[in-house]
Amino acid sequence: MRDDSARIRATILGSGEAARTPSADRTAIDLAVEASLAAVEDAGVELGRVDGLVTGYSLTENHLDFSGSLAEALGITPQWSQTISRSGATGASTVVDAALAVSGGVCDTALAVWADNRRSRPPADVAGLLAGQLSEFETMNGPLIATQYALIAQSYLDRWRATPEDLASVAVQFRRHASLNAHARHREPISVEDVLASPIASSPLHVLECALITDYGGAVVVIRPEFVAGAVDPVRILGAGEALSHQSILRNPALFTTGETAGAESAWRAHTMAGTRPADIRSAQIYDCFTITVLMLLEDFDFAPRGGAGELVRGGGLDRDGAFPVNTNGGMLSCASGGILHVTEAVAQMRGRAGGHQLTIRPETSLVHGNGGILGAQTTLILGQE
Amino acid sequence: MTAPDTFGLHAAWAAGRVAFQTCQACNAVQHPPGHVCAACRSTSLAVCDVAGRGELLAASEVRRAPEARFAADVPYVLGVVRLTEGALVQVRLAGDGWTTGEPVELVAGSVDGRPVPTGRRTT
Repeated sequence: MRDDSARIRATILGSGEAARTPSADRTAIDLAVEASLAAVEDAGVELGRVDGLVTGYSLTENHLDFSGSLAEALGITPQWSQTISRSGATGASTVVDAALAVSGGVCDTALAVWADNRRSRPPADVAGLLAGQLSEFETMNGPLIATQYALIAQSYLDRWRATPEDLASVAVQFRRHASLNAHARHREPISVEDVLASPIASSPLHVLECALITDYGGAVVVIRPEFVAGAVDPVRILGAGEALSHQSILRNPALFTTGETAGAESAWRAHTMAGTRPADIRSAQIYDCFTITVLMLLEDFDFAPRGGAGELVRGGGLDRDGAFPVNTNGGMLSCASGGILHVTEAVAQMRGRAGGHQLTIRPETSLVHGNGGILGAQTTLILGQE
Repeated sequence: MTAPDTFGLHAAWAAGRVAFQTCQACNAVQHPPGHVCAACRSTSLAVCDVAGRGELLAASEVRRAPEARFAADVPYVLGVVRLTEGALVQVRLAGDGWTTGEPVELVAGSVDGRPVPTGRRTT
């Protein structure tokens, strides 16, 4: 059990994203630099002031230390730096680690960055490459990553008598949000029928229920709150929580019984640190690698009762025009890969800088969640306007 | 490249056994195998035969192969089965139309020319 006195004292000053143009021939470092420079500019800090750097890993390029390559590309020599690998939860966890670093005083101004060029320069079939990183006792039978999620989805449908329409409505909702986002990869509206008519990747999941594989780059600037004077619309990291339940789905029977993931635990830790409850959260950006991920996490976070997330989604409960907007940029299902963009989107919406898809009311609080592996590694951030 | 047979499971399967890692201290069966028993933390682990019976927790039909070596098998059904000993295992299931809750029998089989336990309807 965690120590109830655990605290993070950290504020996000700004965020940046790399432009996603699939025709471009760019390295992961190129994308990371573009996002970093955009974040520093958005935050209004001098690049030379950055003395902490935490980055995610690249699937497409080998680096002895991605953060070292990025630091050199940026011409900085931070006193604290690291490259972390936590699968899909990496993006959210770079922000947790940056927040811990500034809270602990090992640096004052940290950049948290994750970028990869999974579309413009893939080393191979990316879906196959990812599937090959499951345990050998899984890969020997030939599952896709989608298959492992599909098995959990099938269990969910059986347990709650939920329907393929419940799952499909997640993709439809996020596409609606993407239609307003000039930077989303897919913007044409789709219907539940379109989703269910798309090919099945691994039953019951259709291709339109699987995250896109795109280039991405996102970064945020994290500082100690005492340095916040003069900042425009800073965003406070109120709480953070992580949890790790398994690598192989076979080691976590709850996925096939109660359907609860370790996301419930990471969110509880984040709320405990923040002093908030689910009802205090005004908006959320939730890792949406597959439609099923969103339904299960909404229930883990108490935003819907067990088995009730489909009804919430079908009723427009995640819509940008409603009381609880979720994945306002279109998410990984329609906008772009990379869990870091859930962070940058939350920050941009809270600061009123989301451009054409800016919400009418800037959310006072946001929950940001990263999910890694097959619902095994979970990272929750709770953000609040300073 | 084939990974080392660290836990001896592949050797047991190649010998035609339906066997999984079993804790010698608490009898828990665990899969995938590890270096420590997740139930009691014992490091005394061995490969033991199981009854070969279980319940299907979920099945999925794979329509697109993750690797070229599986392409000829498409479509194929993968299931998560809870053994009577308690552990969850993932196997190829023979036939189609599988529904959650069905009993499954595990037998010595092969995938991609490699001996592994596979599942079939109980006879």
